[in-house]
Amino acid sequence: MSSIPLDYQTLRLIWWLLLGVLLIGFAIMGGRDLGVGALLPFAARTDDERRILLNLVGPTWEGNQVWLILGGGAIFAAFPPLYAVSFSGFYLAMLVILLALILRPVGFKFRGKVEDLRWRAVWDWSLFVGGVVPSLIMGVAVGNVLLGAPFHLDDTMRIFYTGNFLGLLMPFALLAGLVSVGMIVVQGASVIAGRTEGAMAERARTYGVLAALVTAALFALAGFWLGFLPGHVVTSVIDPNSPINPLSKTVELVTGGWLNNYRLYPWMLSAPIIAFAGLAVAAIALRGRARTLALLGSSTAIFGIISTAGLSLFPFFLPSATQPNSGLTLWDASSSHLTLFIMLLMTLLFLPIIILYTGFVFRVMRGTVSTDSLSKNPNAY
Amino acid sequence: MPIDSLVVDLSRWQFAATAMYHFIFVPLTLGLSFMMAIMESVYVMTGRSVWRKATLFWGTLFGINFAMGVATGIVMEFQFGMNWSYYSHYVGDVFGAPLAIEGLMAFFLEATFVGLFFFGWDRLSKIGHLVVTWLVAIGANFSALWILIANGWMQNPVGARFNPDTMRMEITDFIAVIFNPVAQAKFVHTVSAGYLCGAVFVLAISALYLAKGKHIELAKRSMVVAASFGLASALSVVVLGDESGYVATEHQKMKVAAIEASFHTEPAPAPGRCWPSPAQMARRSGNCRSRGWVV
Repeated sequence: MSSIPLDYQTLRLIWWLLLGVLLIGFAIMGGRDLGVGALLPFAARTDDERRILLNLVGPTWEGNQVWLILGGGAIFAAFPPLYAVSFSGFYLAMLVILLALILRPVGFKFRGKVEDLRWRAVWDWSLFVGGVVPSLIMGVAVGNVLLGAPFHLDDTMRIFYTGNFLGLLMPFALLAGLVSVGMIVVQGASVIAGRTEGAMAERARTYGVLAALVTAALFALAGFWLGFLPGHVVTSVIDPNSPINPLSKTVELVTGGWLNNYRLYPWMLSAPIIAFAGLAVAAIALRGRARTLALLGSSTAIFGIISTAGLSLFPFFLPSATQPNSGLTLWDASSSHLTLFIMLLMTLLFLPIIILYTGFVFRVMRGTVSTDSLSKNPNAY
Repeated sequence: MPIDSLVVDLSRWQFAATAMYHFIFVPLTLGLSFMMAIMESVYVMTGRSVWRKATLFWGTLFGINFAMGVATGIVMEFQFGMNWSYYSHYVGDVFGAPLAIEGLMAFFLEATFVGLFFFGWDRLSKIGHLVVTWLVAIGANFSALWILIANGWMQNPVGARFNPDTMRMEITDFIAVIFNPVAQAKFVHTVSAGYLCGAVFVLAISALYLAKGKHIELAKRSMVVAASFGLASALSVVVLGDESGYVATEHQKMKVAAIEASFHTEPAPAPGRCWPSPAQMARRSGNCRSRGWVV
């Protein structure tokens, strides 16, 4: 494959980064809508207030969710073994995420069609579930990845998963889930505080500040806890340029091993620092009513938190608890050299265009949403 | 440890059910989006508000179908990994790429602008909004293209080879995957069938309104658009569907034989079969010679 201008190793690293970009993209963009859903029954008390929130995220939530769909597609295309093992292994968890996500489009579209408060209350709580449950389970999943998943591969790359759904609900994983919900609530609160007026914006600020403080505390606790958990360390030499399969390496468990990267590469400590800084900025900005700054701080916090998880795991994607050699790393779980290159070209072509038109749509839809603006639009939810 | 065949059967049922459920909504959006774009184009050209009303009316129905298509579509994408994990590992190198490109190129476009379609009427110029509507329609149709490239590769796996080092299929010729004859035939057949489906949907609802004497102005105009768009689509479906059948007899002879329940080579001229009965399904290939001369 001498015709491919980038070597295999570089492409694998680029795709590890791109996957991070897509997942962070979903958490920041989709997190707006998940967070607003999570706060819907609390920040908005009257039907008018709830309609304001639905119409605040209504014009953009569909585009935001595509970050998740694209993230799934990118894992499928760039790291097929990771896609296969994680989606089938975490089967019930994925199913619950899907069922919860399905509630959102249905809730948005059908809530306003019947003028009955009980009907609407049912959909309000559905949207709440559609916001909280995916955030929680995705966080729990990341926690379980750090704990190692109970799977192994045989020499024909068949996947054997020996865990179950309840086994995912370990204390550390639940802590990771709460960090995830916390950062999503801060994001949702920043969106509400930024684009509404009056009592609802005040309530969102209160919830947002509280969530930022709790998230910072839980995130710190998770980092401390990580120091006592067994981390996975690759002890054999991996040739990152060869088309190897995961079984050709040896892996050892070292207590606190997930913090090794920060000793080897101290610059990586910037990720958790950025996370704390982002949460602090969000809390201060929410208190001080600085609308744009709050959203910026909260998005930065999401970037920092997800980056911390990714850098701690590096080079692992999905370590195996039952047979560590089966663990998937970015060096041995990728697509072929050619596929990674083609997909990189496609991404370089289309991602900037996506960012441009998403920016355009947000620009068109900017400004605060109020009851007056709703009555003008027959398509309002 | 072999996989329990019950798991495989249930996964097949699940895939069939979710795919069919997904495809209740999607064909309608393919056709409706273009008809909305045509109606809005007429509105922008003539300035008559009834065309705007028509665009908004069909847009509402499009919106519900689009939302349901999204809800069922995520399941479609995720269940490859959830239920068909060995398949995902085995072909992900080839099959994952068109799915990911669908997101990058098509679905992002459609999903981002669909919000602006509904909420942007007062915030955009007439031309600006018209462009948004066309982008939604184009996004929907490009989405079908990439999904059918992925599906076409499952039907006719070109441009890939097995790599024993990684125990999977890997891409060798991406251009061949895109210009797979099965994929191209299926794409044009599927979208034209989607246009026809959308046209019949609009015709049926308009006819109901005319029969009841309600919204007559809107219904008459919708009928004009749907009838002409539907006629063109219907003719395309005939031609392209026929072509799709020919492509299948070239690349997937066994599939055609299975559809027709032909389990034995018959002496020429072979009889055609109208509908395989359960007995035929059980490989007791019966006769139904009435259509013999057609084939």
